[in-house]
Amino acid sequence: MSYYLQVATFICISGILGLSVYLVLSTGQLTLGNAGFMLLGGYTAGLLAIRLGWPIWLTVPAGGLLAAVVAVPLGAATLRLRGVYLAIATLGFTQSLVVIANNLTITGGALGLKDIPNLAARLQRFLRGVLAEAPLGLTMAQFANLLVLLISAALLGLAYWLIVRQGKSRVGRAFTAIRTDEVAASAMGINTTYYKVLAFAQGAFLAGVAGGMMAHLTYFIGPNDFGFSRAVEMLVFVVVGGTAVPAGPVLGAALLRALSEYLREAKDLRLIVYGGLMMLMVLVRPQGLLTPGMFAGWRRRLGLGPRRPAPGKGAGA
Amino acid sequence: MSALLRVQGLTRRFGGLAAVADVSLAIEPGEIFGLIGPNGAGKTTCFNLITGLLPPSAGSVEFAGRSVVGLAPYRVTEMGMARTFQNIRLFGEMTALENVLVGTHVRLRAGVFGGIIRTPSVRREESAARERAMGLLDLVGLAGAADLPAAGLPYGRQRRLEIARALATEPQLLCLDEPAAGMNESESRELMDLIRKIRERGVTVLLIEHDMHVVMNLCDRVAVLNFGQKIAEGTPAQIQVDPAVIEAYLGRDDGAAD
Repeated sequence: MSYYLQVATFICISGILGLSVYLVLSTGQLTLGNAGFMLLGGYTAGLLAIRLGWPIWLTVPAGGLLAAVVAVPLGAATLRLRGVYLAIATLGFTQSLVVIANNLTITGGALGLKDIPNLAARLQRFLRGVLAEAPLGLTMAQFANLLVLLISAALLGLAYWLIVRQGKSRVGRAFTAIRTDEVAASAMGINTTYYKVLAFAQGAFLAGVAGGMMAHLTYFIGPNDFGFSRAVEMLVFVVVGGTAVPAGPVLGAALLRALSEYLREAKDLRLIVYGGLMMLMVLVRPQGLLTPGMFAGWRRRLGLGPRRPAPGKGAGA
Repeated sequence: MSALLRVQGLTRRFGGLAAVADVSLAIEPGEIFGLIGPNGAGKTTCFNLITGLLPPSAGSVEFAGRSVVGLAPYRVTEMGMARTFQNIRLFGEMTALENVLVGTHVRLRAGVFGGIIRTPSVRREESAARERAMGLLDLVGLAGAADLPAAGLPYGRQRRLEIARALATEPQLLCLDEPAAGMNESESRELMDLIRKIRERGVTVLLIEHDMHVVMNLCDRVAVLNFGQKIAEGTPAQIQVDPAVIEAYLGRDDGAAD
């Protein structure tokens, strides 16, 4: 029971990571830096909790904020690079943070941070103080894990909602315009640098929050939780789920996280299956599982087709 | 009357080649000004220099009395200059309406928080922008195509959608790069009507065009480029009989007696 709750919780955190990459991709930028921002968020949250005794509801947003603050100058410097060059530069950022975390005393070096206050344990202690026994016939530990899942799901839901709302606004149109044709976007009066850095910092914030949550979910974080493979994993969520709708990376995260849990028994075989699936996906359905066209089709079928703001004078010439 | 756009000594070199060499133009408010010339004469480069997509090697560009050299393209657009592209550059996956809404971007204010929270003022701004965008689609005859993806529109409609998108930035000067390219006769007649309507709205028009019929019937004044240099300027009637222009287009008639 607790195992499934934990898997579901990590699916939510992975969903947030997928969304963090999606945000940057929605301005046409390919980043591998979000693993680094996740590291920043994780260590920041962990250290604030261990050293300064900050409560978890403060350490997690603080981790996200620090990541976003670092992202602004990094984005301003690197976002003039395109495609694979940006990916390489941001991967360099991630890897150098891993090296730094491996070598600083305050981060615990290669051993990482131990004894990070655990969200489920904290909740359990709090609940024992106010409840005689857990509701729903659960044990107190299970109930605490359920609450952790609900908190993680709420964070994912909030991130998703914010991205969807933003996507339908002036800012979202600017993102899409930049992704489709940066030159045309700038000729239409869009400050492309501003919006690219904005998306980069927003993605960093989400990755930082996910890192902070990770830290408080696992007791322990180490530098190697946030390296190359993590950076690629996040990208895979988006590639598999779909790059053009925010539901894509969430679905991708859920499927791949569940699959990797399911294949846990298979040990090394798991990585082969994982890799093969990736190749299949890129070859057979490069746009990802979910596309905007599918959503439009479902909406039409449900009779929620797009409304015309004002009927025009016929179909034009 | 002082010129809306004053270009002086505009030069752009690519390596050893001067794609645009010492071009000077003065475009008065309210006129339709044509920029013509054989293929490769430097017309589009000239446009890119004027609208800030390319930095000039030398020369000045003043718009409404202010220099625009060195400004990012979005700033030039902010100041009131808008353009279309020779090789149509619409946002293909967006609908026609959304394309025009992107054009309104520069005149709207909603930021991240306003857009997410949708405050009353943002909602008012957004619905006013939609109304204006629909009005512009109507102007270019695309009101019925508002919800169709831009990439799926026929060529002539895409050209007109680009004009609507540029108008949405509320320009004083509209720069059109070969708006009639690929249009048949009736389409280009409609286009001329549209450009005249745009001028009636108080927008000055600078256009590059190959279709001489369009240029001669539409433009108040015309400048002719050849190999990056301005070789003539005047009314369409003057240009048509200018020997330098005739030579540039038809070549020298060596056999003729002078």
